[in-house]
Amino acid sequence: MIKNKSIWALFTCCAVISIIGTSVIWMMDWKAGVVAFATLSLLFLCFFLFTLKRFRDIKKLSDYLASVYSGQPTMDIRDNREGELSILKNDIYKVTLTLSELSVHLKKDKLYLAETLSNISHQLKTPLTSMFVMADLLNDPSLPREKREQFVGNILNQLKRIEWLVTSLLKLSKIDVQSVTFKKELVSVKKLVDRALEPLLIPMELKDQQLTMSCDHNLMVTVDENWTVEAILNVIKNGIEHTPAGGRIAISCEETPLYTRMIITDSGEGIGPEDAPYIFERFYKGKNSGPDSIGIGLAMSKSILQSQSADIFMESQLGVGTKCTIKFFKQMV
Amino acid sequence: MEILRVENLSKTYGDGETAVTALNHISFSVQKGEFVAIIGPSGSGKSTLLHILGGVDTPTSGKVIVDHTDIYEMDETALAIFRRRQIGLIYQFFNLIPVLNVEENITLPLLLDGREVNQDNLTNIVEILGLQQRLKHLPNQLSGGQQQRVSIGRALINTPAIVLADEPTGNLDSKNSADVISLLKKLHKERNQTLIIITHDENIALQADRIISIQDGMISKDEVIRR
Repeated sequence: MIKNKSIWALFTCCAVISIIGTSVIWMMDWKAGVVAFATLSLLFLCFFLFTLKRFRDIKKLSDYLASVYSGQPTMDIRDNREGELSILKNDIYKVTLTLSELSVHLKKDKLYLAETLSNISHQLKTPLTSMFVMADLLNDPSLPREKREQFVGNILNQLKRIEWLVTSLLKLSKIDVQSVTFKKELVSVKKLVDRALEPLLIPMELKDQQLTMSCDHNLMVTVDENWTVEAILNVIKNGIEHTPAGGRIAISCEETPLYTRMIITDSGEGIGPEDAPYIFERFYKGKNSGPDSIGIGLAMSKSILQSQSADIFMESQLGVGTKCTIKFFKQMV
Repeated sequence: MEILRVENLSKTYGDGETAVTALNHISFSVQKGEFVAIIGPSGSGKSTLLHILGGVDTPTSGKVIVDHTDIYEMDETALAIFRRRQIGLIYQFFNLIPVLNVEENITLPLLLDGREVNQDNLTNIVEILGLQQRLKHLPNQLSGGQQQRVSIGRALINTPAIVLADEPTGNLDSKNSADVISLLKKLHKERNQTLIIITHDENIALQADRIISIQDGMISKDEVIRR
């Protein structure tokens, strides 16, 4: 405050005016002069104290900002009083709080990005390593013909896996940045299931699994047909993979006043309680997941469904099977 | 980050034999940016809860902590100021001031605080609400849906820590209800606004991220439906 030029200017001005005034009054009558001098001195004191207090408040705010700047947690500086200073405190509090919240979010995002990158590299690395080995083996000119064919087949399989991974990741990132426009088509649920089942019928037959389906043809939902088929396909595929040969897959659909529900049950090994909360997370692999599992199919299903006012839930009992419910909420907004 | 915490909240009206327990030891907490729906049949205590959260009614026992401040530890004046700066309220019957025009109604919380209106912020809110053409109209020259949008604007002008809505669509037809709800959702998304909405309509509750069901003054269910 002492260094503040405007305060000095104000003090000097006031001092000059009061000295002139007091002297004039003193010359008229010395008693009045004493009274005037005393009054003005008291006024000066009041003025000084109030200014001091105001500057202290401002200094407190600037100390607070400095501590926030140096990374201290924000503290509550609001005092809920009337007046500009209190509004200022309130606003500064809001801004610092928003900023600290943003920085927490950024840190989380960064961590997530790093994790995702390491997951993706890991997923790409495994097939690449095995392809390197096989290419090396193929290099041997004395390799018998049937061995050669086997290795080439292996390499093709790995390439297919990488291709699937890359396309899925691309799709997921498109959904993430909301560049996918989901169409609103009125489709029958049965058609969705039928289309999703098409590529899965052969693997099911190979595993000798029984399929029961009870979906009314007239049950309609408003979704993007292609994307939703993909979502359902991933869920059923997951069920087939985790159900032993000779098991059962059942699909049923029903309508409630709030949503249309599709239930997909399998008689598979089930999901352990330690895995259950995470099965829809990207790159999460449960205890029972197969060697080729990447952990992206269910995550994608969830993303697709949630982007079009639908959602997916899973309940499971170890050794009994898994029940997956997809709810298509009736459009209200 | 936690923005609201309710600890052991109880509210009893009357005493002796005529005592009615509206809220019975309720506890929950809401994170910043959450969209919570509180549902329950009439008489379940949900409106009482909202009034206590908003600092309009006092609890018999228990604490309400909004943005790290226990609101019932403050004196009347401090609470009033806290309320107008940190809490936005939306009512079923709009509660707009009939002699003020739309712009004045929206900026009322600022004027009460004795501060200037930030034109950018006002324009932004008015645009989201779609009220550009109506700024100089009086409330009785507007439809119900428009009036409710004005009251949403009034709740948001001070960028409050939480917005509380008490049956915001209770007095509107289905078309206007849908508009108001989608508007609230949009504000929740774009401004990361914490939103607590009370309703008895399950369709509306399903739009939220989390549903808290209240029955006979107690929380009977608390489920997160979207993350």
